[in-house]
Amino acid sequence: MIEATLQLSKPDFKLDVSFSVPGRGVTAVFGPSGCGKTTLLRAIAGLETETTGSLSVNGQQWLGASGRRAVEQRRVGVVFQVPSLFPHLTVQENLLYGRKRLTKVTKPIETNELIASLEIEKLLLRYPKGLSGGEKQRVALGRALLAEPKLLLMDEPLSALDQDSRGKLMSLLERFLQEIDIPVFYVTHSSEEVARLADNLVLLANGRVTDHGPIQDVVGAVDGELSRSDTAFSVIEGQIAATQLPDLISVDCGAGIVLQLPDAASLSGITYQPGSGVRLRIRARDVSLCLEQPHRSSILNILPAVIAELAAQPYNGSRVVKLELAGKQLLCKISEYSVQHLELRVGQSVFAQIKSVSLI
Amino acid sequence: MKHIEKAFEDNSEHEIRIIRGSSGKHYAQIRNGAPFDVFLSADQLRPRRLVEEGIAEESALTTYAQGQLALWSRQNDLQLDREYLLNTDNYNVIAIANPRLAPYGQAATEVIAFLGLNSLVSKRLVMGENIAQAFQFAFSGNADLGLVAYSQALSLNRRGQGSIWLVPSELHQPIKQDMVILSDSAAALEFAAFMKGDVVRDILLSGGYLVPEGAL
Amino acid sequence: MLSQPDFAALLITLRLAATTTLILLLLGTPLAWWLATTRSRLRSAIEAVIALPLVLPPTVLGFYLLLAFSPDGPIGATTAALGLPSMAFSFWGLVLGSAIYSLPFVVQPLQNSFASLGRMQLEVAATLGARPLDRFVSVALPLSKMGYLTAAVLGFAHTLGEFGVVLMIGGNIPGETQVLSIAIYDHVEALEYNQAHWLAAGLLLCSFLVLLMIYSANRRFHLMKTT
Repeated sequence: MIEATLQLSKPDFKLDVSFSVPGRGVTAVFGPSGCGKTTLLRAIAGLETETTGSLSVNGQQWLGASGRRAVEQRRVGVVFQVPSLFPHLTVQENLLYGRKRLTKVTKPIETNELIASLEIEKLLLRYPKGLSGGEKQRVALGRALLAEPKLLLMDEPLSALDQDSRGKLMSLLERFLQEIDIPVFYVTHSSEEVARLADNLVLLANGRVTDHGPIQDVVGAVDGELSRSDTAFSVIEGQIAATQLPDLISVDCGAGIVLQLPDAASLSGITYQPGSGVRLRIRARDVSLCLEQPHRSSILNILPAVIAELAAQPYNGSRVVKLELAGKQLLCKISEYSVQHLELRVGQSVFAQIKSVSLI
Repeated sequence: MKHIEKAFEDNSEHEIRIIRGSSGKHYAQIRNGAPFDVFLSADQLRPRRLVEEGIAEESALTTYAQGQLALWSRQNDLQLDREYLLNTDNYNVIAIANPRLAPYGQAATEVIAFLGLNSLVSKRLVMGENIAQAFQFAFSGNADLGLVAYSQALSLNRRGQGSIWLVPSELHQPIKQDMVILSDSAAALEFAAFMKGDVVRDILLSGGYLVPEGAL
Repeated sequence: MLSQPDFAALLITLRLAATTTLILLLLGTPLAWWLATTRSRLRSAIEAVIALPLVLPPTVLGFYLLLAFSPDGPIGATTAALGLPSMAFSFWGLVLGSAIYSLPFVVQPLQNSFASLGRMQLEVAATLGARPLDRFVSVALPLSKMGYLTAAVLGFAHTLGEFGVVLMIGGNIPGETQVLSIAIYDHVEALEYNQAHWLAAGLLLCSFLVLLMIYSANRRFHLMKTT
């Protein structure tokens, strides 16, 4: 478990948070810019020395009645937004900087293996000066991990990268962060990164936690901050189906639900193997409701569903509705007028029209 | 010098402007065309050099004063005399002016040599760039003794500060100070004549200088 | 050519400049670090004090040191109480005077260099388990190489050419406190222009060689880093 109750006052900003998340997996810290995500991360790392409250990470007290543990004794790995390699050291020396300072190497991570899986073996003798942004962040990640951290903190590690290297590093992180057995805090303002990487979610606004918990719970809360925002979305897991229609990718989500999406493989160059697991992100505003099954529609995915929950209050003229499709949850956001006009209520059977699905 | 300036201006329609500086610097400046009317040097070497180099006339050269050397300590009530100086247990550091630059420094080394103190004193000797600085070393107490200008020591002694011994003039070569007239302006000539008069003679004598025989 | 005392003056000068620079780098490092990182209100006051030698004529500084060295001055009284010889007219007295006089030339480049480091590199080092002194030695120090080079060059050069302070507290003792600038001055004053020229040329050549050595070392360091 990671339990945090932290306060920090700055001249123009106040952080006051309290949450607990499981001691493993990726916890995304999500919120608009200026909400205090980075400050929270720095407070957890111990870089904000004025922080008060308590913090314990898998049984270790980092902040509390017994005092404050110094940064260098917390064993946190940090990957900052801006690449922060030591310019006077080679890539290899950077990688080993923290590892050399371990009093004992408890988990003999195979250094070479890690270097290979980060695809930085060819860079070892170079200085950071000539590296690309993506290469620098991979080295920074490797440097943090080789120091065998108890907690890995990543502050928007993709935001300073161009589109291409962002995509590449993203797929690498997706694989990587699931494999390592270290809890990760991942700060981001991108719902795509949340949907792809996060197991848990801490929502932050104006220095306060508005919601936290497993990603499906936070994402699916109809009255939650996230549902009210424009970025409200659902995450559905499935597998690439064995039979494919022309120009389409079919994803089998179980219980007879098959979602179709245009095959952009020819563009991205990626081919999907039947049976491989994928995550789909569906924006709440891309889902609409029909009481009767529409025919001859350009919309690919029209599925029968039951209304599981209605938001208590409309918000900005819209209402969030949670649907259930054969055990999966799906949020949709429709106008309050439609809710009244169609007399929607919990338990009603409807058809969900899903305008767009993204494979993430 | 201040007294001389005042006395001259009281008796003349001319005013003088005194430019202070080391004799060596003034010499270099005059050689390079500095517009001074009269050069009062602290030694004989530099005015002579100017004459040899044809910058001034032989006839423009006179000795205007003769300095005296004093042994001075800032400690009051010391019996300073030849014996005190000879007994090197009495002091650690003695200040003199740089003998290569200042006639007082030259005279001081002559005194030390005359008394046979060369080897005993050489480790205790500190040099000021000029006689004023040598005096400063002694005045601040960093040097226990100073072989300095009698005129400096006298003015402090009259205010009850320090102990003084006028070093007998036979212990060193006379410290003759020459002046040379550099222009033929009326003011310069008038000032040169004034320097040889009784008024200046009295000022110099009461200030601790001797007045050379040939000067009158 | 150089006479024996002139040669001694040259050696004393180099020794004085090297000693002063070394001491200033050692003492200036914590001072500059504190100035670059502190939020204390005292900072401006300390900065002003350090910059004073820039404003104060060196002879004035020398004069006050002379007073301080005297038996009833604070430094003189201390050395006497400790049974140490007086600082006046001694090599170590010159070192102290030069150190004060050249202090801003060493502290300011170091301070600027430390301030421009930013805190991120040091924070990263901390998260990787480096303690404060370790962070300073392994990160701040190597990243401040240029600052140290500038500080050393300025401190050394400034002490080489120093005149006023030495004039006041040195006492012109050959082999002990007679430095090059004073020797040149004496030659000029004594109308020995020829020796003065030789010595001045020697000083110029020496300074040039030292600077050349440092700058080419720095160039090699840069080349090494970029290839």
